[in-house]
Amino acid sequence: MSLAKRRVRHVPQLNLVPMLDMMSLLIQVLLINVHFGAYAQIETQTSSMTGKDPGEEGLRLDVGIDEGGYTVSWSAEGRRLQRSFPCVDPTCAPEQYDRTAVRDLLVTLKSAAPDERRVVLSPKGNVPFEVMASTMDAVRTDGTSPLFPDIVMADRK
Amino acid sequence: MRKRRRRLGEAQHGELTLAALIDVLVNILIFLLTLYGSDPGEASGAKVELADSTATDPVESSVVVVVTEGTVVVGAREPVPFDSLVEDTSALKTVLREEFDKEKADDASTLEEEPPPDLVLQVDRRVTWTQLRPVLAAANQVGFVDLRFVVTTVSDPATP
Repeated sequence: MSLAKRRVRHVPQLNLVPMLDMMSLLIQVLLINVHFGAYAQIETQTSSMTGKDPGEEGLRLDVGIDEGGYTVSWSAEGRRLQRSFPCVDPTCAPEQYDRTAVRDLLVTLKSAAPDERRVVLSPKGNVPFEVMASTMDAVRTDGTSPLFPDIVMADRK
Repeated sequence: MRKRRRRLGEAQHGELTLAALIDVLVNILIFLLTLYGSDPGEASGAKVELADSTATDPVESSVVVVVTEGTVVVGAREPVPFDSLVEDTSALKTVLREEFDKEKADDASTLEEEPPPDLVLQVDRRVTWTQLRPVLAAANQVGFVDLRFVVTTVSDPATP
């Protein structure tokens, strides 16, 4: 009887303190190393990498990027038109590319052809990817509504 | 005096309920681990400084290619140096083709007609078009048509 009483008194209990210690340490390590930066993706196509023109009708908007700035060309009333936008500064650092001017032109073109969605991006030479990404931003949307979200990467040597 | 002793005795036997605390900690742990899983930079060991963008579309999982200034890494494979790419893209094409076929086989198992797999590209912001061009050309020749460039989302990127 006395033995049975003793067994009841000494009910084994799970010691959770070491586990809690380990978990709080793990959380601290994860919090220190975590990157809270949000990642996103920009969708493009590569149909023009083979040299084939993506389309023969419509606006046929093409944004060329080289080490001196932008060259935008498009079709209107059977003619091929072109405008150049050199860098704001002769050093032509990535932030010196005149994206605002390109976007303004694209807003005008979009208002003239609201059904057009495609733009061909043609980088050249040693243009860094940073410039390509910011150009994709400039041609995709004007901040409130989409401009030319169907981006095709082309290789025009 | 007797009452006081009894109260002291009760306080000594009082136990802290840890179940709620453990619940909270487990939830935080799961949240943090999920956050790690969604970080595209963690998937590959390569140091990539992604370009800034206003894009907000979430990154979808597919074949991942990491392009840094010196190398191209396809999935978890060995890096391919740029120097060899300029002369011959066959090594890169072989690796890309294997990944393409693998991804296509996975899609075929769903018994639905799937479009060709996409290629997720983590390109360092300093990589030039001259370096990137052979990678895109190789991907295109293998059969990847849709490319998804991974970027860091910023609310207002630097404008001139």
